[in-house]
Order: sequence, then C-alpha cells, then structure tokens
Amino acid sequence: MLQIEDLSLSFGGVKAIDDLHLAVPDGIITALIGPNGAGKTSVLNVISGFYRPQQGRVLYDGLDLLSLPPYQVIQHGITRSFQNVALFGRLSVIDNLIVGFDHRSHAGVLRNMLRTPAVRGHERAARRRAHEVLEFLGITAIARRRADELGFGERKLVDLGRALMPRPRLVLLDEPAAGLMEAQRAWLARVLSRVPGELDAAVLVIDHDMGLALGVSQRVAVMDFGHKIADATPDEVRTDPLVIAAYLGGGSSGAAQD
Amino acid sequence: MSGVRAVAQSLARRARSGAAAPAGSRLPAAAGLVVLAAALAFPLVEGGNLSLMGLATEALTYGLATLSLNLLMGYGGQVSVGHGGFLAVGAYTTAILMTHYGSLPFIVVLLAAGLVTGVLGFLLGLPAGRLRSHYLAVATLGFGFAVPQIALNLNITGGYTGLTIAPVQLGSVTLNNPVPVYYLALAVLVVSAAAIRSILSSPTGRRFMAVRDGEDTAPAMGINTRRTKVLLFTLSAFFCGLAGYVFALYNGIVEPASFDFSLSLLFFAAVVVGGMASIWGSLVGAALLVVVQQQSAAVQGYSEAIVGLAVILVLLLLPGGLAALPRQLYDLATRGRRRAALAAAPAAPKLPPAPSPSAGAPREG
Amino acid sequence: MTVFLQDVVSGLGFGGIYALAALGLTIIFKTSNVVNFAFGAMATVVAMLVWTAHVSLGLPAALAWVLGILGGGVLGAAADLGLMRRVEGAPPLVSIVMTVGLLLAVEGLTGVIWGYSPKGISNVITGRSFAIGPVSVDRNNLFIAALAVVITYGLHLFYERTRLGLAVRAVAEDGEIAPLMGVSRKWVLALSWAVGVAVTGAAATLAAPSLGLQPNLMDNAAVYAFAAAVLGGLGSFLGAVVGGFAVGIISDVIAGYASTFQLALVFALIVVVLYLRPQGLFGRAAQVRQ
Repeated sequence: MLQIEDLSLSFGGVKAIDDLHLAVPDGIITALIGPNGAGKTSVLNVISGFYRPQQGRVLYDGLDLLSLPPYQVIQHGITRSFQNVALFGRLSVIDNLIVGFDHRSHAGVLRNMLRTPAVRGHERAARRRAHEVLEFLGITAIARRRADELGFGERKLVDLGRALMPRPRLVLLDEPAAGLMEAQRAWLARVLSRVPGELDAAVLVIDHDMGLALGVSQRVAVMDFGHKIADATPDEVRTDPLVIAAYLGGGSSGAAQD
Repeated sequence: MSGVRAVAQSLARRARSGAAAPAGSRLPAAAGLVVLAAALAFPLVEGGNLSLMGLATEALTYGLATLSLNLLMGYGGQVSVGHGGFLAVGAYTTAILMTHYGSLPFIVVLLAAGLVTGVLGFLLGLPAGRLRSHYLAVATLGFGFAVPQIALNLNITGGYTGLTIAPVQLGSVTLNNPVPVYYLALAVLVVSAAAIRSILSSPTGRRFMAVRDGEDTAPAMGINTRRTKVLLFTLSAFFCGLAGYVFALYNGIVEPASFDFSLSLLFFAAVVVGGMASIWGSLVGAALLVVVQQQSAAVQGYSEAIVGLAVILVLLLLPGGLAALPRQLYDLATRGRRRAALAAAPAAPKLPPAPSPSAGAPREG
Repeated sequence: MTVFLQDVVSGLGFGGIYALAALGLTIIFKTSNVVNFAFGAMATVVAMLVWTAHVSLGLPAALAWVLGILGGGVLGAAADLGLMRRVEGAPPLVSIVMTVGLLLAVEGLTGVIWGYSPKGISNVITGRSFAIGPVSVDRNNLFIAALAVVITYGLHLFYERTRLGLAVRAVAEDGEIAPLMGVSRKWVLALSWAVGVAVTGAAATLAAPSLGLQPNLMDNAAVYAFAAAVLGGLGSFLGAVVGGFAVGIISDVIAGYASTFQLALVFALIVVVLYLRPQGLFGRAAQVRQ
C-alpha cells in the first residue's frame, strides 16, 4: 500500500502539490484525475523519484520512497509509464520490454560478456516474460520492429508493457490514454481492468480525461491546483459538485488532449 | 542489372532477419564467417607483399580503435574527438612494460595495456558523464591533445624519440615478420569484437543503449545513468588500449608524433562513415580510411580533405553510414513492388483484436 | 614578482589571440547554438588569403587584410547556408560531426591549395618593445590585446544598442521571432557565421608570425581558445575575452615553470572548470549539464 502524507512540491514559487494526502491501496485501480496543471504528473514524478518534494512523506509498505534515488524505485516493485511515451527508439520492441526486466540481473559487465549460466538464464527468462507481456497486450506481431517505427497507439502499449515486465506490485500510469482514439481507449480500458486480477498489481492511473479513469478504477482522487478536492468511489466523484466545478472552471473534460 | 538487384535483395533480406540481434550488427553469422575466412587466408596469398601486409595490419588495428569509439558514440550516445589519446596510452603502456619487463608474457602486456587505458577512461568518464555533447567533445578534444604532449615530455616515455620495442616472442614464434603480427592483430580484433558483441546483447549493452535513447527515462527501469556512462567510457578505453598494444607491436616504435590530432579525427570519421552502432560498419569504415590515407599519401592534405568530404556527404546523404547501405539498396530495389502492394491492400487497422478475458493471461511465478 | 608581472604582460599577446578566437567561436555559438569545431581551420584560410594577397600578389597590407577577412566571412556564411542549414533540428551530435567533417575538409584543402611549408608573414606592428617600469611591453602584443578589447566592446555595443543586434539576440533565443523583428533567420545565422569566422580569422592572421603560417596553424591554439571559451562561459562575449586573457596569462606563467606541459595543464583546466562550474565565469548554467 502506497501512502502519501503532507506532500508539498513547489517550482520556483509555484506550488504544484499542496499538502497532499493520498492512499493507494493494493489490488485495485486507483485513479488520480483533475484538470490540466492540477499537479497529477508531479505526484507521479515524486513517487518514482524524479522530483524531490520540499515537504512530505511517501511510504510504500513502510519504506520511505523519498530516500531512494530514482533508479532504485523499481527494485521495490514500482514501475511507471511516461506521458510522452519515451521508448528507446533504436531498440526493438522486445528489447524495450527486456530493459524493463534487466534490473533483476545483478551480473557485472564481465559476467555479461562471458555469458555465464546465470546470465543466459536471465536472458531466457527475460525473453519469456517479454513474450508473455506481448501476448497479454495482444501485440506479438510487432515484437521485432524498431520502436521509432511504431505507430502512436502501438508505442503506448509497449510503454505499458515495459512497466508490466518485472511483475510489479504497483504500476504508475501517466496519462495512458492521451492521444488515443475512441476505439483504442476502450481497448486500453479493457486491458487495464485485467491488471489487478491477472497480474496481481495495484495501478495508479493519472488522467485528465474522466471517462477512462472513472470507468476502470475502484477509487478516485481528484486534484485541482495542487490540492486534493475529492477522494471517493467513481460514482460519488462523478456527481461531486466540487469536481464538476473544477473541470468546468479550469481545463477540459472528456475531450482528448495532446 | 537484375543480378545486382538480386544480390542486393538477398543481402538485405538476410541483414534484416538479423534485426532482432543487437541493434546495428545486421550481418548474420554466415557472412561474418566468410569474411573471417578471407582474412585468415589473406597472408597466404599476399604474405610476401610487406607494404600490403603492413596496411592490412594497420586496418585491423584502426578497426579495433574505431570499434571502441563506436561503442562509446554509436551504442552509448556519447562523443569523443580525442580517442587517439587512449590509443597512445595503450601503446605507451605496452612499450614501457616491454622495455622494463621484457620477459612478461604477451597476454599480460596486452591486458595491462587495456587495463591501464581503461583506468584512464574511467577517470575521464567520471566528469564526462555529466556533460552535454558539445562540452564533452571539447573535453575529449583536450584529452587527445594532452596525452601526446605529456608523452613528449616525460622521461619514461622516451620524450621526442619515443620508445622502440623489440620483436615479441610468442612461444617459438618471433614476431619480427609482418605475417605473425598480422595474425596477432586479427586475433585481438576478433576476440574483442566478439566480446563487444556479447556485451551489447546483454543487460550491460542494453543499458548503454537505453541511456543513449532515453537518458531521462532510463532510471525508471533501474538504470543508474551516471554509473552506466562511466562504465561505457572505461570499456571503450579498454578496447582502445588493446588496439594500442597491437599498434605498438607492428610499428615497433611508439612516439608522440604518431598520435596527433588527425588520428583521433580519423577514428571519428571512420565511425561516422562506417555507420554508428554497427560493428562491421566500423571495421569497414576504418579499412576504407586506411586505404584512402595510404593512396593519397603522396600529396599531403588530399586524404584529410577526402575524409572530411566523406563525413559531410555521409551526413547529408547516407546518415546511417555504410552499414545502412544494404537496407537502402534493398528499399530502392523493392520500391516498385512495395508501392503496388500498398495500393492494393485495404487500410490496416492499428489495433490488435480484443482478446477474450482469459486469453494470453500470463502465468505467475 | 617582476618575473610574474612580466609573464602577465607577455601573456597578454597570446591572450588577445585566444580571446579573439574564442570570441569568434562565441559569436557563432550564441546565435546558432553550434560549437564550430572547424573554426581554427577556417581562420587559417583567412590568414592564408591575407598572405596570398599581400606577399604573393603584392597588395598593400590593409587591402590584403580586408580581402582576407571578407573571404573568411564568405567561407563562414557558405558553410552555414550550405551545410548547417541542412542539419538543423538534428541532435547536437550531428552538428558536432558536421563541423568536424568541415575541419578535416577545410584543413585538407588548405594543405592542397597552399602546401605545407610554413610561409613568412610579419607582425602587424613592428618596432622595439618599450618599458613600463620593470616590465617590458611588446608593441605587437599590446596591439593585439587592445584589438581584442575593442572588438569585444564593439560587439557588445552592436548587440545591446543597435536594432540589428537586438534582432540577432532575439533570433538566438527563438528563431520563429525573426520575421517579427524584420530579419530573416537564415541570414542572421549566416551573418553570425561570417562574422565569427572573420574574427577568428583575425586572430589566426595575428598569430601566424609567431606560430608559423601552415595549414595546422590553429590546431593547438584552438584548444586554448576552447579553454578560454569554457572558462569564460560559452555564449558570453565578456567571458570569451576574459577567458582568453586568463588562459594566455596562465599558460605564460606555466611556461615559466613547466613549459612543456602547457597543453596538458590547459586540458586539465578545461576538465576542472567543466566539472566544478560548467557555465564558466559568465555563462548560463542551464545549457551545460545533461
């Protein structure tokens, strides 16, 4: 269970996150929504270690995440995707996925070079896992394509797949539906809803579009200008006047941005 | 004409089928073995031609140095305009060890050359990993100038005249003949290339490429970017140091004048012309430039100008370098066929079909 | 102490040359964000042109200088319009490769056209040194140093006080704004390259008497100029000139103690500055670290 307490983050005078308390329980999909600029992506960046907050605590099963450099976060079962779908362009899809799994290998360069049995075992396991993920997402056909030759929708799926590779306990998704067309969004929603059950992982989905987020999640938190203004079930949030006001007053709602 | 097209097509088809291998090493094993066999047989045919043997050995040595630079630039995304400095360190280490400890087995000296150079690469990599490309280029430029100047002024490196090396004893063979030296160079190159290839298709190699392609997002996958870059510099320097060993051996003398700026530029150009992130591209690029240098040796300046123009042309017309040529030829040859296929096919949906809830569910554990 | 002072004063001569060379580099970098690795080679062409005009063709020195500088400007503009325009928008590595390719091509062609034997060219200012107190000042060095300062001030005035200068600065920040300022981005960039090469060319021509006029005239000096630009802060004129004099003085002082390790120590200086304070004395921090 992820616990965020008293979190505050400022960028040169602008408060991106203001005294946030949030619990992300295991086994379900939690959505974090809000208009553009509400601070949602910043929350994700803090959790994954890319931003350092001025104040607050982020605990995962008691472990202080803020004490970790970003490259150690994954070791504790937390993975993430990226809003701008940053795949490794010149690597193949399958290699992109395997990079998400490589942290499990602790072999140094010498052992990697000599292809010790442990290293070969890791390569086999990585490839096996990559094919599992490709099948789960239904994109086995593009396995060998170079990442920068993919269409946008395919790239999004690979980004998601990469986050699923190491059998994470918590997956942080940054606007996974942004830029996708209607049919693709429905598809993504179906895939996401299978994650807690079949992959035994909690999901924190960031989105400014209410449709997808409310559709797949069991718990919704709403942010506006860095504050949390609601934290309830999807149905409750849908009819919450504060939430509606925030969306009508500020950014867009329902329309796909990007 | 159709014969050429067929050859190009089959070459390219085979090259593409190797695409799942480390990005860039597109030549499948069979072609590589053919080349290796040719390289092994070469002295049997031309062994008597001393200058040709020397040229071939130089091509092998520069090939390894270029490969080490390509590891840094093509696969790692960093830049170095001073790799001649690493070659110098390897060569001088070799010369110094052989001068003072003449009885050391060659493998010890070879590895020492690599390790000492590797340490220097490590030291350079520490600050270098934090710099953006322009500044990194300037820093490595300075390195490339500084090393020969230091060598010029120290006693242990023999100053202006440098150090000479007595021919090496390998068991019963004395390497005072260009043919055994050629084979030694070939052996060092082949083993190094195999090692590099092995590294590239392992987590280490993928880490290099991940940092190259997505430095900001790599930490999310557990990659310590700083450490990865330092390792990259160390490895690149190590292999360049090995090339330095061979360089010292076949030249017989190690002096500061051999490591001037134009050498670093040659390696840089060879990486670009041969193709970034391509093992065999580096080897071909280096060989090509060695030949160009030799052919235009009569009029100084021509080789420099030609190499410079080659770099510019490659950038403008064939950015992937020579390594990208098979693919370009294939695309060119099949352009007509592909256009027809595209016109005939219906617009393909971008989506995979929706699976049933239980399909494709991965096993646990 | 006198020795030290003398070193400082003597260092001003080469310091001025490094300052001018670094200025040329900075002019190009400021507008197009490209480090022109071929700047030394292009500058050498200017020196060669001046030599050809003055020594080979017998034209008066002033005219030869004008022709050389103009030639350099044309070369710079041509390089920018012909080559750099085609690769703009590409990652920085591409511009590095392009300018390195240019370096090879230009230096090679210089060798083919003018040959490799050093040519004789005399100092602009001849005459005996005069003394200020215990220190002896070489007239030519003084001239070079003064020239560097004057050009820097002139550039400063241009950038800060003229409309065109303002337009150039605006284009450097955001190329899209060019039409609003009434200038063409393409020509602003070409102009920067022309002026940049011209200024570095002046440095090369001034340095030629001491360093020897051959195709690799500026090879070593380029490293010093880079050090100067890095120390002063890439993108700052004041930095370039302060850095240039600093490097000139430092290397002169070093010459007194460890004369043959100058390059190595200058390299060490580059690395130390980039590690500790990458933006140099006057540069902007944001651009340096990854």
